[in-house]
Amino acid sequence: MSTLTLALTGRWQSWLGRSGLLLLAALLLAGSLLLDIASGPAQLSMTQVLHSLLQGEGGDGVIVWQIRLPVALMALAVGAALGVSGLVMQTVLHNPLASSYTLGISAGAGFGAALFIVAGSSLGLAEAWGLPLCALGFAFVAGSAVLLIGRHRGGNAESYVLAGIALLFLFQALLSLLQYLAAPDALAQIVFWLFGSLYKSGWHAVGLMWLTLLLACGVLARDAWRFTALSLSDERAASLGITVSRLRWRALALVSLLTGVAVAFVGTIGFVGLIAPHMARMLLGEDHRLLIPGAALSGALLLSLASVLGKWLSPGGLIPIGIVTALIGLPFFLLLILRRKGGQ
Amino acid sequence: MLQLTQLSVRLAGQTVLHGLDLASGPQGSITCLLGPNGCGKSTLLRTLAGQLAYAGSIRHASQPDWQHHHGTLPAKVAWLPQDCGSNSRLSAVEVVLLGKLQTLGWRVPESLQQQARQQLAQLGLSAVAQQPLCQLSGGQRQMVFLAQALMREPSILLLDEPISALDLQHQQQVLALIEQQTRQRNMLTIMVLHDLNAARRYSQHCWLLQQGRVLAAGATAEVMTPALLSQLYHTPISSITADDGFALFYHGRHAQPA
Repeated sequence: MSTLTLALTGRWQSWLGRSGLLLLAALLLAGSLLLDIASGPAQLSMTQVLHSLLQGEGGDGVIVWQIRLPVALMALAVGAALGVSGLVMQTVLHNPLASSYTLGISAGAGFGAALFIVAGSSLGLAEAWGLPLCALGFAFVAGSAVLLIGRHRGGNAESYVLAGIALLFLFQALLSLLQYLAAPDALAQIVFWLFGSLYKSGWHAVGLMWLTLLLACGVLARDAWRFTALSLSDERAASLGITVSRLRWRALALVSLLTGVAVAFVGTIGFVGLIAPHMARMLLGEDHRLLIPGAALSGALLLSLASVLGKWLSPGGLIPIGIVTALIGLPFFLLLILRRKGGQ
Repeated sequence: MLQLTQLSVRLAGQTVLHGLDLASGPQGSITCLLGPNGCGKSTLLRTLAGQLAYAGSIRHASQPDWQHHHGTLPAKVAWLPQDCGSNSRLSAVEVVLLGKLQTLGWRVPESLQQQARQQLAQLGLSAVAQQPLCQLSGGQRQMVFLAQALMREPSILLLDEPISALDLQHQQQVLALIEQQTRQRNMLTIMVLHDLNAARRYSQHCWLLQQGRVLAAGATAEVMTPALLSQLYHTPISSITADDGFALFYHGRHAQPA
């Protein structure tokens, strides 16, 4: 525990102060959303963006409403989904390095999506439904496997993470196998899910992603106090009347849902789910009533800014966003490991 | 009164508690659980807290359906597990509030916050109410969790070594408080202790547990004898009588009068 974070939390001790911080984050998010819409091959000014948003599709409105806005809104929803799922995993597994990306749930969903591309046509399912269902199914498989293997190994913080890492390797290997076996056109599609990209987002996908996000957050919010209690320890939570194993299953099911849907639409995007919860914790403390919206806001902000940065780095090239978040996220990840080793 | 009949518990294929027949003292009294490390004290407490499957029966007036609670703490029971050195950044008052978990909603009413602050004040912890748990001493942390347990307004209070992390002054303070609250709230307190003198002074009933079996159980004054305690811990224990009439136990053989 650094003195800096304690000083910070000290200043934001009151509910009001911390709620104000959430409001500030929401304002930042709105700014980032506008910036994201303005950036791209055809650079728009802020007045053009605001004008198009208010006036509807006409002139620049086509670019804004058909291309930029769905992508920008998708970045927010996916970032929020990853942030919240990372937070919940870190809380229920008692490990600061847990996230759906580091523990194989994203990889599972990515494998599910790739499997559908390679073999789905023989199943006779339409891609619009078959692919998300397949991704979702394998996200649930990975999430359940983390819990089952982790519990079998004793159920402490390390055992879940080891189980998750084993699953990550397994699904990566299976994905490599699929790539090796896939026809060239299918291969190009699989690569999309490997790196993560926002550019396939249509309004249909954006709507589904936001619906999933709001639904899952609504259910998670009902458990906010139980998550706060669980942040103490398993036994302390049990001593408050919580059935810890049931809460853990419920949480992992929702994490799998959020991750599965996000991966189905934009592919695997790493590190946002790992870092966003830590940012929120540093500023808001352990109260999950604030942390759940806090992790959602910081995740959304991170991915939105990464989207802007990606466009600036390569104005016409459209770098997959997964590569941008990995490049920004890796130093943070190392910082976390080093801080942890030093003993908190 | 809590009545255990033929209570057996198996953990990882091994029988840890072998058909215990035990009765506690009445409401408003403290029953103390003594025995060497690994004798099953914590297992018994965890079983009473609804955390472990068992054979046999557990009966108490406040909780007729104990068996239905497997995996979850019964409503009228508060359980203070051994301190696991939580590094949480929750403030003391937030930790105490968690004692009312079942009633906490998105908004916490002022009356509930007031109750949590009063609970801390009763234990002399008002000064650290807003401090994060990770900045408190082991003793303060233990008392914060005691305040949390009392927030549940239990009929039965289960304490697993509540004074093991405390210095002498704080040990007395916490035990006196437990005794006072037990009487005032008419709770039945069942407490695991390693300190024989504290057990003698503060409990009215006593269970001696050895290798998962009952060695002796009954009124503290009758059960806590040098002979039984020596047998319990496999080491010589003697006693002298203190000024206030309580027996004081010490390790070693009684010096024979010349």
